[in-house]
Amino acid sequence: MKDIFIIENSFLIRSALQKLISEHFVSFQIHEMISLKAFFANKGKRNNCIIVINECLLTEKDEIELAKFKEINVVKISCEKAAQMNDLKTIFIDEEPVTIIKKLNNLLDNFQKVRKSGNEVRILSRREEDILKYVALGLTNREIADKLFLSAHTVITHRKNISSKLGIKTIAGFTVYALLNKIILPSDIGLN
Amino acid sequence: MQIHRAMPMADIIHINYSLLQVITRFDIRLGFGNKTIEEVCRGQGIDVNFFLEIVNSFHDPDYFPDKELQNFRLTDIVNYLRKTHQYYLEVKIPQIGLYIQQLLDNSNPGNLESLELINRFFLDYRQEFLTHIDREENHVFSYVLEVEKAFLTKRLEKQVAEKIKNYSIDDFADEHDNIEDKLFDLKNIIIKYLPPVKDVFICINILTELFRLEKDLNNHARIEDTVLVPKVRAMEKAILGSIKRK
Repeated sequence: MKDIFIIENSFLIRSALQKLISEHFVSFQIHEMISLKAFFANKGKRNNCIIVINECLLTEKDEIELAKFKEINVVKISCEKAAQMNDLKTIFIDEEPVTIIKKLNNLLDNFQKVRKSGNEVRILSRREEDILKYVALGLTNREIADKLFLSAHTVITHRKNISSKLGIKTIAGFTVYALLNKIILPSDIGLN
Repeated sequence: MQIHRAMPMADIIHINYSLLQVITRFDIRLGFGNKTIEEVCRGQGIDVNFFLEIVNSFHDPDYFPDKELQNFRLTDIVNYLRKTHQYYLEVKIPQIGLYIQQLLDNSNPGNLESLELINRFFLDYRQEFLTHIDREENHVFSYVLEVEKAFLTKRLEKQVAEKIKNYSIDDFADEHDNIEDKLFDLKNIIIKYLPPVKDVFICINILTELFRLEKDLNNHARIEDTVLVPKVRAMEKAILGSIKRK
């Protein structure tokens, strides 16, 4: 995830946020918009991002719509004074820059934790994971090829790639990796 | 750099302290003052040529056995290899096992399951290791000694020739199974995939021991491949040749 959308119709607030965020999150691409419409029109970049949006621009319907996307985190901008200091998902108009950055940082941390268990940081492709699963369960190359409708040669190529990606050479090693990463369950191989 | 007989024994330890393990297997004790390798070996009744072959192939992975130094008994090599095995079984493996037990003792509900997997993997490895050593001790070494005996005494050559046809040292070299692969995996699983543990020093200790064991095993395998195997192969050839001539 490398995108942060700032959706705010006040030029002053928008540009101040843009400056603050770009200074602290150098690896992110920042997009400035004046309404959610532009965001929904922006196809392709809508998953895995952070939206910083003026709460007045966000209807209940929009929130339902946003929930349909994968891994979107929404931070609201509130024009009220900070009443609840521990509201980590809202930036208040009178807050100091350090507090705002802290809130965004905290959000990113949580976000990355979620992604770790999610799809983004996996080492293996889905296909390789399928093959690894069967290898860990003790199937031969031939059996795996039949199950996945592949040639035995393709299975062997995949296995070589899996081995070099993971740095694991033995079947027993693959099994431990698969168990540690919940690709198979202990009960699958008769462990409790 | 090749280690030679006129070098002070103390110098080779300064050059490569891993050789401490090797000289211990020859029952050489510390405190050798300025004595040369040759002097220390003579004092201990060790074949100096053999000693040089071992320390050189241990010290330099690219060392090529010196023809002039090949003139030692297979019994010496076998004794040396047995000592090495003993060191693995009595010192190294139990030490690693102890650290892994410490890891389990330090577990929490969140990582216990993962640590138990590591333990199970290690126990499997240990079993494989024991089987490997057992096969060498009880089959390969006794075969090697039989070959040498027939070669030296020129007796029982026929029976040994039959055995050679059945199972030669090249078969051993071919199927010399790679017990290092599992060791490699164990290292990588701990380095790359094990969830964080409370006491990181236990992991560091385990890894340090695994790296050391791996290096030692590589050297051990090299001695088998570069010192033991060629010598046995030459004897097998001589025995088969002498049978043909008869």
